[in-house]
Amino acid sequence: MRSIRSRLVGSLALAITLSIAAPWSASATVGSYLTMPALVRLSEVIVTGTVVSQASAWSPDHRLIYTRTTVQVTHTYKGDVPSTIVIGTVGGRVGHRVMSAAGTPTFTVGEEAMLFLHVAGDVYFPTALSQGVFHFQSASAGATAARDLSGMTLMASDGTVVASPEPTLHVTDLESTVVRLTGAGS
Amino acid sequence: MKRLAPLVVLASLLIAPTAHAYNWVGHYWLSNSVVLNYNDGSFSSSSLDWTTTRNQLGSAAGTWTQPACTVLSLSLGSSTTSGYGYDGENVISMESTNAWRTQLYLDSAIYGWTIDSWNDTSYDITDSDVIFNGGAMTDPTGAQQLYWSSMAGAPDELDFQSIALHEFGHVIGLGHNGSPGASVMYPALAGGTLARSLHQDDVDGVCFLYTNPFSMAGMNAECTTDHDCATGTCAFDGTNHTCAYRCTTDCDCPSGNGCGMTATPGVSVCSTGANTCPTTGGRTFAQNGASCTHGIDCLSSLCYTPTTGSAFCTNRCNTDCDCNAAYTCDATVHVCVTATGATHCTMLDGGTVADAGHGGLDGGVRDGGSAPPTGHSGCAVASADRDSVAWLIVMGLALVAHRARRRVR
Repeated sequence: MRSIRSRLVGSLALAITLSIAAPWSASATVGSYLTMPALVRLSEVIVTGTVVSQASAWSPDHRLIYTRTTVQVTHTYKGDVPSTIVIGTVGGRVGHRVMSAAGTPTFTVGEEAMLFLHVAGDVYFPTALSQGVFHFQSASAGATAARDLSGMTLMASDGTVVASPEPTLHVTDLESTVVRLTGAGS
Repeated sequence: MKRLAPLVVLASLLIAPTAHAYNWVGHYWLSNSVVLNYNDGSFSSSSLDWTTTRNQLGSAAGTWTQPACTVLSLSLGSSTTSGYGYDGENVISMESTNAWRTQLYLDSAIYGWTIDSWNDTSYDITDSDVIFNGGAMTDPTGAQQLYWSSMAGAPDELDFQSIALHEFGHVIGLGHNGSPGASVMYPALAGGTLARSLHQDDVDGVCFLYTNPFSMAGMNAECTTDHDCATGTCAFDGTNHTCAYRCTTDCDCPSGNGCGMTATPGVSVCSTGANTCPTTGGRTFAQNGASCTHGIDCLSSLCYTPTTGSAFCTNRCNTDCDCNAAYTCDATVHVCVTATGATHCTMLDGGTVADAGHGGLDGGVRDGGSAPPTGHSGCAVASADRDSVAWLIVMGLALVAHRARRRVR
């Protein structure tokens, strides 16, 4: 039988690993679970793209940490955007300081995603936080898309909670839905 | 001590899963104390009455401090003109659509937000700001407007106090609770409904993170969960639940105690009986002041890691009178630390501790530079080695209470 101390040391290693792997796991957001038509309608820009870089830094007044994620746009469904856009989100890690901006989507360099966005100057930001980001994943039956809604309090119109993770979609189904709702041909 | 909290949480999962349903998201207030200032000016454009709103914020904060098992202090401070952001000041504010959108990158589908800042090595939260949407809020269709209310009744009304209570749960380090109807941290709140009282899961959560040391029981005391015990384990022998030290062999147990199985598979604890440890005849627990790695190393069960320096065994305390000579009670973490100046309790010859003009359980407001008090009033105890006496008492009680209960090893 392993000693308690060895269990604890192992647990500490696991705790550190988890803390590094999910530094922004705090959940502190109350919001509304938008229907797909509402998500499309509220978003000024809808694109698919590939994440090419990401960096976190303090704001000039050193009050907020922002993470800027650069995306190479591969297809535009709504709005008029350049070929490369920057998505701004609050939160991130600079040195040993972590700022958690709950419900904020996180990205991985190299991943593809469909993005529902607002525009604020030269920065784009996700509609309804994580609700506006469908991460693409390869699968044998075709690419799928899923949102990470952990960390969000989502109220449906009847007041019930929307569980996370939600069911994954086939990318082709998602794209056809967006095309139909935007009225844009692909 | 709380630095070890992640370790303890995961260890409990590995060794003996408990039934709690709270969700700790990995950071906490090391000081046990949080003061939230409020930017009342930011609420001026809201339809909410500020006096009522302030009272509701205070009620929501106070609700988290009510359980007797917690020492958390969460309170409203004073009016401020500051807003959100990392500045060491915790601020509640309501932000306009412009700031909501251009500074926070949020839209009408988001109603409330909490931003925590912490150090990723100590897990200590140093700044937390709660922000409410002061602009347009939309329902799931994106077409129906929602409104703040001080007493939500209609489906398009969001109860401000209920959401504040939920957000303050996040401020103190709690995440969402997935048990329907079991927590204010359950991630759902229907429009027109109120959720202003804590559930048992919420109490368990706040008491885990900010434990009142004097609500924790010592060895052999009756208990309900691990969180009740200073020993860290609430063991079940098939009939009773009592606080005990975990062990793997007799060598993990003090003299006069052996390591035996409990009714819980895989869980062994020290209980009264012969100790057959071949090398030492039983474990020697470290006395206060000795270095340690975990609480189980210490006679007191408490291995405290100070901000600077190495971890050492010590006692929990509320006042200096709870500490040995040369120790003082650190009011922020409620543990005895090496005294660098005057203490409220002066050790006299023969070991009587006296405290003039202090007492109380306020966590130790000190008078700093005043002369050490003398005399024999106040919280007097009668031994220079209280740990030894306490241990003997505990052992005596253990002998009586467990003689008939000891299970065959």
